[in-house]
Amino acid sequence: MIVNVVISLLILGALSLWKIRQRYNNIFVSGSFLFVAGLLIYFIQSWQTGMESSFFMLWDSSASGDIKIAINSTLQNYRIVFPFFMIAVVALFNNLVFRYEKKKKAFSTLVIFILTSFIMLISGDNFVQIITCVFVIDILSQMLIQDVHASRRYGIYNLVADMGLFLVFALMRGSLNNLNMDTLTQYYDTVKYKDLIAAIMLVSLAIKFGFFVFHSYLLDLKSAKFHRLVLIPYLSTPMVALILFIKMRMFLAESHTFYLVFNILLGMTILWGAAGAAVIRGLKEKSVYFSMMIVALLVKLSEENGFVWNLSFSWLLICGFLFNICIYYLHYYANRENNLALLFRRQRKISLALYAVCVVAIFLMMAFSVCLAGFYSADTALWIYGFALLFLPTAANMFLQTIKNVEQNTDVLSAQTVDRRPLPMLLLIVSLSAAAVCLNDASWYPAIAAGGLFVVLMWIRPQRWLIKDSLCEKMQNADFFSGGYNIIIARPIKFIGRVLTLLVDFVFFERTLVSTVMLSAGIVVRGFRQINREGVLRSVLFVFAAFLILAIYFLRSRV
Amino acid sequence: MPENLLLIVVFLPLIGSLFVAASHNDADGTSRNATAVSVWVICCNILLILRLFSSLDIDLNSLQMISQMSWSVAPGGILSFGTDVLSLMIILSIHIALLMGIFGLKDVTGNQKGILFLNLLFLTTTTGFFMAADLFTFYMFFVLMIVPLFMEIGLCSGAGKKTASRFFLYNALGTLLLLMPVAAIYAMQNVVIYIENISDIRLPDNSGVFIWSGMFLAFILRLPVWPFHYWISSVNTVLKNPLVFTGVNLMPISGLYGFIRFWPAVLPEEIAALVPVFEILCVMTMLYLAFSGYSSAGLRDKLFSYIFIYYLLYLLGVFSPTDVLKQNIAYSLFAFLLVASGMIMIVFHVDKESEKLQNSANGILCLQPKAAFSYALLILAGVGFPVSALFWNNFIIVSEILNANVCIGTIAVFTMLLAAVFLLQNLYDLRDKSCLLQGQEKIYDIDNLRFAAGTIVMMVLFLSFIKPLWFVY
Repeated sequence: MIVNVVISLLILGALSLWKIRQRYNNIFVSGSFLFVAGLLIYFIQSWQTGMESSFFMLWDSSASGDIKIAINSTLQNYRIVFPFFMIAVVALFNNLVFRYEKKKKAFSTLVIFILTSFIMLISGDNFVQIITCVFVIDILSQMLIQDVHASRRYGIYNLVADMGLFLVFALMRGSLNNLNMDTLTQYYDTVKYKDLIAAIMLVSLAIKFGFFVFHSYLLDLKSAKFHRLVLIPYLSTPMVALILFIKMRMFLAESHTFYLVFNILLGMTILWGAAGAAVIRGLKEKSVYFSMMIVALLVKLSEENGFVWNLSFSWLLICGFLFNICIYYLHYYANRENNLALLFRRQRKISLALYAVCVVAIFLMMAFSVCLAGFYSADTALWIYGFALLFLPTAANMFLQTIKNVEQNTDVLSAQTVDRRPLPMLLLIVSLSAAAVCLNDASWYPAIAAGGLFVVLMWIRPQRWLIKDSLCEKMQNADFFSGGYNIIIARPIKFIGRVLTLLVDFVFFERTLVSTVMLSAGIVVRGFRQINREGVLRSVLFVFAAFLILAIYFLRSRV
Repeated sequence: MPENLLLIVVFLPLIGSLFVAASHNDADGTSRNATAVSVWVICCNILLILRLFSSLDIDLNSLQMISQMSWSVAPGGILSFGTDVLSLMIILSIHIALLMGIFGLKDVTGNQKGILFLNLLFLTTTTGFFMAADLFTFYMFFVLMIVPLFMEIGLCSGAGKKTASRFFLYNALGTLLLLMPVAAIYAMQNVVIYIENISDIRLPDNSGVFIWSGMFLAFILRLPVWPFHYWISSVNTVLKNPLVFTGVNLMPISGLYGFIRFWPAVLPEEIAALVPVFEILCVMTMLYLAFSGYSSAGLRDKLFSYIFIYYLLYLLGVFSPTDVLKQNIAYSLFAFLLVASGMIMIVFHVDKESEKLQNSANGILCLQPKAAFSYALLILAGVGFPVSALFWNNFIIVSEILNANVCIGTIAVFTMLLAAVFLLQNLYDLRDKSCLLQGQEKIYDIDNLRFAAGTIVMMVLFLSFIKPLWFVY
């Protein structure tokens, strides 16, 4: 049952917070990998039994309603949790074999907690639990990124998205006076502020998915370590957005403009992702652009498939993550140089390792195409073919360009033996690709076609003629969207703030109101001083004033 | 017994202040004795407050443990004290906030003994105010609490006479405005009036507007909503003492508390039509604060904007036509005050150390790992991440505001977002290593005591996230 998995993961996570000596870290990392892998097997066994159950725990209660922690072990939840579980296990294994991570234990702990939060997000059924899990995953993802530069815009963009979700959930809770998502059908009937909800949800989801216009924060991840970066699109905010999208689909359907704008964004994201992956020379940036493309396609397929989360969808997600790992190992064997233009020649054996990564990528393309074939229909054909047309040549170009650049450079540096540690990881990718092909009941033709096409495209490399160097040069450091963000949002807010401070506090209060009061008080005080000075005329004036008061009093009393 | 405990909690700081006044300064001019007395008094009071919690029926939504002191000057000859979850939560958080402020005094030179003496007096008056059960006691402490703070600002903090007099004039005006309705109510009723019954009083038709307006203006002057905000923004910009800054920023809770106690769920006709105007004024002030906080470069200015945005959010919660929010406001306010006081303690230290840097404070937290850790956690809690009771209680409060008025609620969330963004941006700036120049003067981190205090506060906040009243048995 899912609840047992959650409890086990929480215990493991809590144990991993215990500080141990550096030398025992590897033992812990191995142990945690084995434990989580064991839990995955238990999870799959529980799933196969087909038993459904629910677990509830009262978190807190107040006059405003009870907050429960719910973990529902339904078949749908098993299906959704499965790919994230698998990705977490692969990430833990990668952490085990990877040599350049200094904080292996911390990394494993973060992955365990993120997985736990994901499971609770998926199986939760009340607003507070869901929004809590969303926030927690954001915090953990920021810790995963680790780098201040990389996490700066990531944090702020996601905060904006989270506050949008906060507003939407609060709006629904206010109307329903209930925290449970089951009551959403009532809201669905009344549908208050449907356009407001749709607009806010659209912006929040687009930010979290990292769609076109809102994706620039993902590009900042290039400052983060690569093996941490590869995890972000598949075990972090974009997947949170996917789960929320599925949970909230019925409200969004009520707004007619939502799906129109959303689909335009999806299409633009795939196009922009393809352009970025083709033109930008950094492997980290390429990885982000490829992830944008894949995530956008996944969302489209989910939408076209009636938001049914089937096995093909799960394997598609896993394959996307494995593709990111492949790019990472390309970078790894290219002497961990990010910029393709700066790759230098290494000894032959390294090139062999790069070829090995390319072979793994071919297997992956085959698996990807088999999973994709499961979604083929008249509605999706355009999207699938369009995606394949953009994705395959770009990916093929990247793999072969890396090898060519390594081999063509004449600078010879000191020889270094091949690092064999990642080889089990590459074998794992091949095994999982094979599993994806075998477990999908689709035909083998797409696999053979995609694999063959990928090899041919690597050989032809059509993009070397299509993309001019001058264009590449201009595009490398261009960041249109952060500039737009500054001009449209940040600067006007600063300007308004300064003008208000100056106008309200300084001009109106300090210089006008306070000064006027002070001046008036001064005039009054000076006037009284003048009156109270010695002199015949002032005495007469006072006597006259006293008589005037007496006269008024006398006249009023008579009336 | 609990009734006597209530009186001890109110007057123990007063006795402590006498000890502080009698204490000697050290040879080097520091006031360790006075600090120790203050810390011990506040810690003892915190323990007593926790004891009071266990004697409280937390499900009962009215003042409990009513105790009375005879005083011939008071109407009916008595001063009444009582408490409930709301007032005890506020009192507890004020105690912890002032304790944090005392820890922050380490960086400050000047007449510390005087500040500590006045601080304990301020604590007595605020505790008395939040425990006041009848209208006269409430009014008396409402007036008294401005005196020690005025003296702190004027005499001890180097803020200058102009600032102190501005503070006093605005607050004195508030007390006079409250005096009129209080006197009018006593004149009409001629008996001891308990504050929880205030909304049940039948007022003559022509006096309703007069009484409610007086109360409203008196409380609004404390909070303060635009256009009465200027006194506090001008005071905050010149204060350089964390304890006085904490005190000044705690003062507005008296206005908020007044609204919570007096604002009726079913509004009288006289003021019902004016509620939208009040709400618009509130969100206008929130917007103003959010924009000015975003544009301002100073750490303290940002902190000030953040604190007042949240106060006004609670005020909007009070204005919403429901009674169920009182508990949520209490839990949220408790967590919020802890976060704000922790942030004040660290911000003042960072501000002082940043004076050693040649250009800006950016990157300074890279040299202060302990301050960076505490500040990051406090900001996470402060911006509304689920690490404290602030998170889901604010969710409930916002949902009720949205339910009452979508526009007002949306603007309120927008201002919360802006506040969160400018705090987060500020945190990233302070942690940006690339801004640091080589060869700077040595930058000191917060000491272990403040780090421990920050960590304990974070633990309390986290436990309050799991269960708001985790300390009640």
